[in-house]
Amino acid sequence: MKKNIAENESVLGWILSTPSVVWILLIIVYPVILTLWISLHQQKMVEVNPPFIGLKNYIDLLPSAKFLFQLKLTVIWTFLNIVLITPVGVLLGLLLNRQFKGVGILRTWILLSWIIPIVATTLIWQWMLEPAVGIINFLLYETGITRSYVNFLGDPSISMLSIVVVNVWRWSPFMGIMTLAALQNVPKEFYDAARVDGANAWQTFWHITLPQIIPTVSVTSFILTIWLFNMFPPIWLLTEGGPIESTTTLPIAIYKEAFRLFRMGKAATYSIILLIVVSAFVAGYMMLFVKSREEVVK
Amino acid sequence: MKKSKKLMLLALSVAVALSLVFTWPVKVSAEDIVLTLWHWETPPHRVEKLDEILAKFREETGIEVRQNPISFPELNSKILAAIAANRLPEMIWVNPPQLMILRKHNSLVPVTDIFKRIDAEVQFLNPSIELYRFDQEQLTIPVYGISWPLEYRADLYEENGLEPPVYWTDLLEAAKKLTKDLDGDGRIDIYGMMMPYSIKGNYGSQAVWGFLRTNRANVVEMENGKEKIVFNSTQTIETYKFLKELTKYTSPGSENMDWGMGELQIRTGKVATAVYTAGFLSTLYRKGLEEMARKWKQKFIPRPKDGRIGHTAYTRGLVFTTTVTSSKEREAAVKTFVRWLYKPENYAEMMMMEPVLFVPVVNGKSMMDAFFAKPLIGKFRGAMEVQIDVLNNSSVIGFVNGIKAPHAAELEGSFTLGAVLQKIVLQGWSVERAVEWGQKRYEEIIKE
Repeated sequence: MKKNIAENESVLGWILSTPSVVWILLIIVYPVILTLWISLHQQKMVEVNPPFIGLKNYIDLLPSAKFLFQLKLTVIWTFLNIVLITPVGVLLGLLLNRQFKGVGILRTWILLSWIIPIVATTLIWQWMLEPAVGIINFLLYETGITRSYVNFLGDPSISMLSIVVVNVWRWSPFMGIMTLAALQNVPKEFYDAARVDGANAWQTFWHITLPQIIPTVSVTSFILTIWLFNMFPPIWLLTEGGPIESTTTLPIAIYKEAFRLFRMGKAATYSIILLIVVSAFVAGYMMLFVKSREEVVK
Repeated sequence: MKKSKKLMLLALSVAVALSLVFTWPVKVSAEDIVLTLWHWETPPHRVEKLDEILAKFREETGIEVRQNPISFPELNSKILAAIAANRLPEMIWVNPPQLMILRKHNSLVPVTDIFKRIDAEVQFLNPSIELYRFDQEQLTIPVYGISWPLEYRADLYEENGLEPPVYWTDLLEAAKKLTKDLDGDGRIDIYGMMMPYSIKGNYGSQAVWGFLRTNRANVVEMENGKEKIVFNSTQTIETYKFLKELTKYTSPGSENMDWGMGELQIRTGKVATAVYTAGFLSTLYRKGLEEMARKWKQKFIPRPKDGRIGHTAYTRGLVFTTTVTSSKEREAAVKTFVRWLYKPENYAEMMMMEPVLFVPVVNGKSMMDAFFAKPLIGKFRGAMEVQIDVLNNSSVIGFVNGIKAPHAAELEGSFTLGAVLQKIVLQGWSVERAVEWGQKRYEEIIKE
């Protein structure tokens, strides 16, 4: 009887999980395998029988200065975004957690940057950053901060930083809302106990608030890091990787290889390498995460 | 066990039934034919105007044509995906690079017969025909052109005692003289030239290409049936040396300029001269700035003293994809649509999708009469006539002197021309070194 139930549960389990498994195989595993396969070919456009070239694309790409520069730019882009989005977002979350008049409106308003389609907001930023007629240059000049045009997107030395600022503006509210959700789950008793013990505001934040929100903030930063590695729209819409390749991160390079030069094999190679880099990051994070959980349990 | 088997059978039956429902081929009757047209004229007013035209066609013929506007940067990827999935629309408006992609994948149906019939009535402009003729077969029906003459502020030129520039030296002098700090605050208020040297979109490379052609420089030629890169030449180096000088008087933002940002600078009066389409005139007019619009005049791009008239301009062509041949009814419906579109009134109406920007590629009297009878076109007749002249004196990378370079799409899509100018201006490379870099980049592209 016991065996029958076990068997039944197993069969039922298969039935219930099969659609999800098939779906995952179809939309994740198949494209990855196909991309890997394409990367082993000298594939131009959508040729039916492209020549098999083994690892040549990888051998050509990996040691090239161009690729290493693009990889470096991708890491800089991700790093700058994370170190700016995280504190700005946490501060936003702390602000939104306070009770003051209009906080409800502020919570909604703050999300607008994240809700409005990225194409619309980025194009508005492009106009604002325009050196000759943009409002930011106008304000900087009129207030005496600058004496000439600042070419935010056209000067290769600051173009990356300019896009990072736009992206921080867009993504900080997301971090803020996640922080707010974590803050609202901190039991009030903790704060009452701290007050009874005579803790000041800083001590309360450091010893109670921060430890309570760190798991949420770190998971959000982790997800954001993966997204940032793969992020395409803000860079593409603002500079398309220029000027002189100063903002060509790996996703931009992939797009250019695939749809400007039609070198699908090379674009696939880029994609696989990016996948490996991101996977290594995820694996490292998971190992650290599991280790820290085990220490907490001990 | 028995119960689980029943459950499994039930789940399987439901899955099979659902898949049958969703994938069973539905027989389409002739009356149900819906044609699809892809294009990249995405601004809402263009889409709206085309919708009006398609509605009129449906009203008159009962055939439905649906438009699918795709943003230009996505068009190549959409076409490639559609080829791979065998889901091409019946019709696409293409530039030569997209045509090369479709042709390479045998996704086109020649339109020679219907082209000849329409040409007899409307007389297409010769450059528009040549561009799309392969082995005596016509692959597209020319739809409209877009050309980029030299735009200049006639009022400023006159105030400063300058004649409209004919030669490079005139342009350089004008650019220098018209770059001014008007209010004496130490900051330039108006720039003599807008010379993009960007790789954002194709504006930078197109502007450079126009100047290269005035000096007979070229990118690729065909030799014994193979492509040969001829970019690194005396003419190319001379042209970039001139452009390097010209960029000293260009407006800020030229390093990252696309078409939109360029128009913004023109419309806000920041520049006195630019290589640009005259399409912005109708925008100025619609915004009640007719006086400002009238200050802008058009000319050929200046050339060297021993140079020639050369330009960048595109003719969009309508292609029939292999989807058309899926049924006789479909083929007939597509032909009906095209014949209808080239009736003078309908064609003139189509040009109104973006008045003053879209240049007619026909020469028949009744066609041109209907076109110039449109009030807005009549207002800017001079600008339209220059744009038509420019179209007749233009060429596209990979399509010079009657050749059709197989890698034309990649050569153009690499935006190497703009990148070379960036190397010179932003990185301080010598012109010779930058041009050599460009040559190698192009060679690498055709190698694969």
